[in-house]
Amino acid sequence: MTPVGLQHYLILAAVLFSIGLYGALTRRNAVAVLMSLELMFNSVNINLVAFSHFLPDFTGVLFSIFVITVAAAEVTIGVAIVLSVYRNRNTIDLEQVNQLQG
Amino acid sequence: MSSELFTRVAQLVAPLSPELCLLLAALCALMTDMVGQRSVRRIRMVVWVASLAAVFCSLALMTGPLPISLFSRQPAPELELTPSSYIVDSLALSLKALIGLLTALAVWLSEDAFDEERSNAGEYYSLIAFAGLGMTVAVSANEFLTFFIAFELFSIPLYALAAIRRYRSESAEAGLKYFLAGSVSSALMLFGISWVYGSLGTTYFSEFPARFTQVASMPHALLVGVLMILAGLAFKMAAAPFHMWAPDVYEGAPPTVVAYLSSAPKAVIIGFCLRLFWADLDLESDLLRVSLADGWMLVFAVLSLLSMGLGNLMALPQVSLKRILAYSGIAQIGYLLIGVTAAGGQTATMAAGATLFYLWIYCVTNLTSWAALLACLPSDSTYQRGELAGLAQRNPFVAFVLLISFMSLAGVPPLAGFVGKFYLFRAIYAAGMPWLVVVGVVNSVISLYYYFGVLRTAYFDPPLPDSPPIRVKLGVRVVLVIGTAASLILGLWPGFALWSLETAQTLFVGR
Repeated sequence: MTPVGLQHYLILAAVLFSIGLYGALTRRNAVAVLMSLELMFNSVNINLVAFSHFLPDFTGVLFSIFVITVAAAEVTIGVAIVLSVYRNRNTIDLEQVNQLQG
Repeated sequence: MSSELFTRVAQLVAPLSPELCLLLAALCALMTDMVGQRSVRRIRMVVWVASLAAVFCSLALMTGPLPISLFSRQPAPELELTPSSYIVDSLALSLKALIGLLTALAVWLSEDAFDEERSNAGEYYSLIAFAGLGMTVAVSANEFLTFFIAFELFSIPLYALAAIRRYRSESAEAGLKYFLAGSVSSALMLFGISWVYGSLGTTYFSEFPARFTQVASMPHALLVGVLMILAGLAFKMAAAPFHMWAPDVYEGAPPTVVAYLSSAPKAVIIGFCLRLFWADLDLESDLLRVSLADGWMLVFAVLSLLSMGLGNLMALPQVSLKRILAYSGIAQIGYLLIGVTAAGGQTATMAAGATLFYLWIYCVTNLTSWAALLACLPSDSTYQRGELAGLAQRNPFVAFVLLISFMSLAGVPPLAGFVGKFYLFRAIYAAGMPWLVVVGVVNSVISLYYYFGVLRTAYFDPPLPDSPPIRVKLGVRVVLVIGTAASLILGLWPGFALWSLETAQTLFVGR
């Protein structure tokens, strides 16, 4: 059995990122989209920490801490906006929240 | 002893003065809103005074010695240069001045715009100031972590601003769409950054050229990373094919907010592209100059081509003024990307100067166009083109402003937009891509159709019988006068335009 190397982490991160991107683009429920976004941000963290460990260089770990913080802020405002959409429309189905088009 | 301390503090604080002005304004606005009697006028004044102070500080810093590197870390032993995460150079300062000006204009524009929900005013102005702060930091970022934090610092307030009329479903929806597009773009950019970091082993831009030679074995990872960063940036500046969100967001968000978010972030992203792609990725690295520079130029050229083409063609059938301006903004990003493309060629300085010059013209003119629409349409308007009927008789001043700014956006000869486009086309011609000049000119001709369609309604259609009278508020009037004066002066007085262009060029060299 081969030891776990850099490429394993990178593949995991790429897969997670792809799942997140797919979810963000296709899910109809706004909260599910928020979760997909979170998945994308966390795959970035895996990448950063893995690179940081194997380079080795400390910046990546530091970077991932900032990413965690900013992702939290971003999702907070996302939930607030989703809530205000829900109050207006009584739905968070993204296909029904489509008044603006043309 | 104390004077020495004072000097050292001043040396640290002075280069950061534009940022500090906006930070103080944002905090003041928040505090006043929380404790005070919620005097909206006072909060607004604090923010616009601070924005103008930021403009003044940026211009004053330009006269001093540049560039100033802040937050340097010890040089790595094998490298000659000292990497720093924050750089105050002429490129950054000219963009900071622009951002400060746009923030002040946006604040003037917002006079009485939020009467119906007065309790929001403090938040509104502090969010604008925070967004301005994030942008002024972002144009100085010389390192990925700094840039990412600054990028989010201006993105997050802008999401909230787009949704600030949260009791109206269209504003909430615009906020949601802007948030989703923006977050996907941040995530894409971050993933790209992680790959660039992984392949180069550093996040400092100034260390990149030296590290490129080490990654010859792994250029694909780097390529993927840079492409993803570019996709994230293109999303943010609404360049085709990443532009889908823009028309919906511009239509639903409050127009005062759109005037700001459709101009200022573009200045940041274009400036960042110049810094990241041309100033550091290429110029000093043989590997990239030989193998990739032409490739990157082609990538930018394609983005520019798609933005111009799609933006202009989609604008043609629109009847909603907001959508016309949204698609016109996508097309204008295409023109700006012509300049970014040219900056990769042999005549990088000329191209960067032309891009900065057009950036100033476009941002101010775009904000003025939104101000003109805001001035002449009632607050419950749906922004249909027909509502402008007879504007020339109802309010000749606003009609004139609309005429000047739309003609400038279209690039009609005596105005600033023409001069700016001329230099962009000259730059791309000198960079060896004459076909892009042809595309640009053809697109300008197409764009005349929809710009003049709006002006025809305003000038030649009779007014609707029940049109309400137009009263332009003082703040909006200030914006209209400044924007029109800028378009006329830069266009009618080519000497001044040439002087500012040359200044822009020497600025870019001077760093």
